[in-house]
Amino acid sequence: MSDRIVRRGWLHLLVALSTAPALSAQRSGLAFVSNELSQDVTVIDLASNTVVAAIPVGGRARGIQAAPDGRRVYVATSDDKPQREGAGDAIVAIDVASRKIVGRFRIGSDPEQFGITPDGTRIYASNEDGGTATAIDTRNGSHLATLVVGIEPEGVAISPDGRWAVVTSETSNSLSVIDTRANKVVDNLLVDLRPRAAVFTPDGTRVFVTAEIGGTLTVIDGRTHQTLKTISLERGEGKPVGVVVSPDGKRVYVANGRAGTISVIDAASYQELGTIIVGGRPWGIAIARDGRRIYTANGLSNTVSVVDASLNKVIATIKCGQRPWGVALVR
Amino acid sequence: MSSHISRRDFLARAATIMAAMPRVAPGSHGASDPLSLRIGVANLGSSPPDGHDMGLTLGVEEATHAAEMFGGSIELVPIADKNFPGALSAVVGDSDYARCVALARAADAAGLPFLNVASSADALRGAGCRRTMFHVAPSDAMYRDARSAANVEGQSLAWHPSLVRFGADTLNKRFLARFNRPMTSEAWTAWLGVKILWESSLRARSAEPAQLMDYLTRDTTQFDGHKGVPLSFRPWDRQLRQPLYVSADSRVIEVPSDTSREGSRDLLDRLGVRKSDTSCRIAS
Repeated sequence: MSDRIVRRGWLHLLVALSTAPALSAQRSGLAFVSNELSQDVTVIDLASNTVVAAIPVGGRARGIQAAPDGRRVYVATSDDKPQREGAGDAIVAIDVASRKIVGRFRIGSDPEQFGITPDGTRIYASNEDGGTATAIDTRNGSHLATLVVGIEPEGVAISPDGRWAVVTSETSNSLSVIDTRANKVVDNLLVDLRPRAAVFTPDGTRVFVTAEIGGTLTVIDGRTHQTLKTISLERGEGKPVGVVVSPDGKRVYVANGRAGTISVIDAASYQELGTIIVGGRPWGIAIARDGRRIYTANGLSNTVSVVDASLNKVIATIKCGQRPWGVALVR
Repeated sequence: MSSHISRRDFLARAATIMAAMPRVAPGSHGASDPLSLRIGVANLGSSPPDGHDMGLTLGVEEATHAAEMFGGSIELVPIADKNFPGALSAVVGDSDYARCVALARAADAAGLPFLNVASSADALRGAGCRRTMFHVAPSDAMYRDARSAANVEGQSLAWHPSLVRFGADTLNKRFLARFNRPMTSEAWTAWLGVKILWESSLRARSAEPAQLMDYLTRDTTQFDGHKGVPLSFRPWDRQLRQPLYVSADSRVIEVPSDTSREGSRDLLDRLGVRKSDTSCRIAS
């Protein structure tokens, strides 16, 4: 056993020494992109903005997130057999270093999006066709809870302190708040039409929820779960889907799927500061830890747009798999 | 637009009301129970069940799921023409024109909103319109305009079971899994009618007919019907603005074709009778 570990360690060292570009890639990080139609994950080296791998995941790949320690990337896959958990319905764990699938966890029917607790031990996923959210332990894949949320659950976000998981539901226009200590739904809020994604601010004081048909961004108090404000995007025609907050908490970036843009919003004044044109139908959006780059997965153009956050401009476009859905970044 | 009704709030409110008011008999509702939505439905329970009944059923089942989150209840109450039981919140009609006219008149007299989810007759939106009558079903004029805009010989529809975009696939899958039948236009309009009433009661925080009517006629009120744009009632004839579909040569063409850029209300108003041409005389 120990012999094998030692040998594998040597192998890693050899690989690292023999491939200098890989070292710079590690410094600048990697993007993992889920592709809904080609059912794989594209790996992009962010130093060179080139594709370095495609990992088949055996199902319709949608939600994608990196573990807090950056060692694993998780992707939600589904097999499209409605109302029933099938073999393709899973959270797939990819080892970042080897780019190999190291786990496949059952998480109920049709998982779409999910959140990971800050300690990396738990995943909360929405079951789109089941009207539920499922929690599992990432260490062994064991089932922790299945909770009734709204109809057609979609977006999931977890507070920076790990206390709350929020789940949006598209048909019932609702946001369910889960207390992760008790694994119970403690609050349900009505939000605007077709809520898609949610994100907490880095300090956990607020939650931003996009509403695709309402064309708005709703701001919710992260602790009392009261609605603070609803911001209209592009005069209600924005079609907002994915949302991220900059690491300094000052900006909110919203991917407007059908408009093919990102809206930039001041997180304090809630003013829309500008619009960035990206690829076709951006849904998933991610921001680098230093806040300098924003990435969108563009489902219709099969690309990822790389945006310079200081210029508010696309500086690179990278071809990936078919119908990219989400992006996760690893340092 | 967004509002906050937590289960905690609802229970607290309910508890206060229960303490102050005499107990309400099961199955009835009044001002004391704001989220007990009772929808009167004529011609319910055809055998075998048709798309209309299935749509209503799915609508009620989904609202019941939401009621688990927000409290409250929803039920369909069978009604005969003109003879309405008490404590109704609204009435939903079927495709029979004569029955629609009779029900709309009776609902109007009783001060209830009437949702026409099945009849496409232009007359109901024109000279026969009513302040209390809301048309979820598209009109014949809208269907004509959709066929003309699609520029093909085909059937114009409110919905099609092959629709995928804008979450249509999830709704189609839900319907198919529940009834083992594809979701037809009549099923979609019936489902949406119930959804509109339930959401209105949640957002208006009331199942009172006058409050529902007030909510339905507000300029800011809009709904999601899995068609990719917000749906709203035109103030001049109470017709729900919505995209339509034209099925021709195994293709389904969406009309209007691109709602992503232009103001969606203006674009949707190209289907059907415009404000300047309406013969409906309801003062909004």
